[in-house]
Amino acid sequence: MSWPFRIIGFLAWYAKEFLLANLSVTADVLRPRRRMKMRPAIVAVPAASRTDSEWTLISSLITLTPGTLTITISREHGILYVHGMFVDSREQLVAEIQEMEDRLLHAMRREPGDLSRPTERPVVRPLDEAAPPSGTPGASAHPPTGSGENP
Amino acid sequence: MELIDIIEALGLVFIFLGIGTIVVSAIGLFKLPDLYLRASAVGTSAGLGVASIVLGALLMDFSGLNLLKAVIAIIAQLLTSAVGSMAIARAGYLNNALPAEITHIDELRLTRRSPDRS
Amino acid sequence: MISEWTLEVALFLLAIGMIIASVRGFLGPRTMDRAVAADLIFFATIGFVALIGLRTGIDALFDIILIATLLGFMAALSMARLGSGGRR
Repeated sequence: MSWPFRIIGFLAWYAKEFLLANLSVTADVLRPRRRMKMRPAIVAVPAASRTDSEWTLISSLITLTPGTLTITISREHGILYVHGMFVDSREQLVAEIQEMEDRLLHAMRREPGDLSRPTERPVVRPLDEAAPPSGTPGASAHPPTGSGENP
Repeated sequence: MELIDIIEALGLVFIFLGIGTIVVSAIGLFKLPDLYLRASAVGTSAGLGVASIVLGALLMDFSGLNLLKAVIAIIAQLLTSAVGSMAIARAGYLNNALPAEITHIDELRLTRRSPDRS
Repeated sequence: MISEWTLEVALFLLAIGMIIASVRGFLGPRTMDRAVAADLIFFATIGFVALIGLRTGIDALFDIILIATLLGFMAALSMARLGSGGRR
């Protein structure tokens, strides 16, 4: 498919996901407290994004979907830290996010290009300790708002 | 005349859908236990709530120029609300807002400082 | 207008939502909880403006909505900056 049609296809798929996520979050808030289904988790998701615009778009789209929230990103490790509301296992959330990212990158790039993701887990340390410059995702990550949208 | 009534009723349906979303996420602010879950609940009203109120207002007061303004407003709302709630979540993380007990996987736990400093 | 009183019911519901959110803003144990509540109150304010504009039939309604949605996230950004003490 040519490029504009792929973007329209992605937007249609995303609109469906967006409505379904809205429904599930709303239903879970309205449930009585004892029967709430939510199982929140914060998971490190390896990401295949490379350029600034890809990072900004994927983290904005994750946040825009209710129930998933990008907390911070670590660009040099290629990791998105995602807070999910309905997470049964780590693999399930990682698969969801990576499916969205695959579709986004296939829609955005003219050629699919490099879709490999980092496989090793980064070493994390507390922010305050004098850690080496690589290894602290919080201290070294760019602001997730993306420099393109800063006023 | 008939068609205009139907469109106006549809606009009212969208407005009430948006208001319902906002009220539900206000309830969610109380029922959900920590900052990240609350930000998720507010995300529903930031996206769907405001968008459907604007859509309903458009249907009740339709013109070509209003259509253009409403489409731009909805797109701007979707883009900027994501940026805003991401900034709030990140500030909470930098501020050591701990996730609630029920969070069963927490891969950012090791990067936090001592939990009781604010 | 078939919708005189329905708009008033809508305003009433929206006011209830704003009151609930502002109670969370008063209670909120930390700054960021208050920021989330203020964010929600802002979205409810956009709804309020839209409804009042429909009720009185002013012309500039969609201009107001457009400006509000374009600039609304600045409040969230500055509150986030306030809560994180200037760190990004």
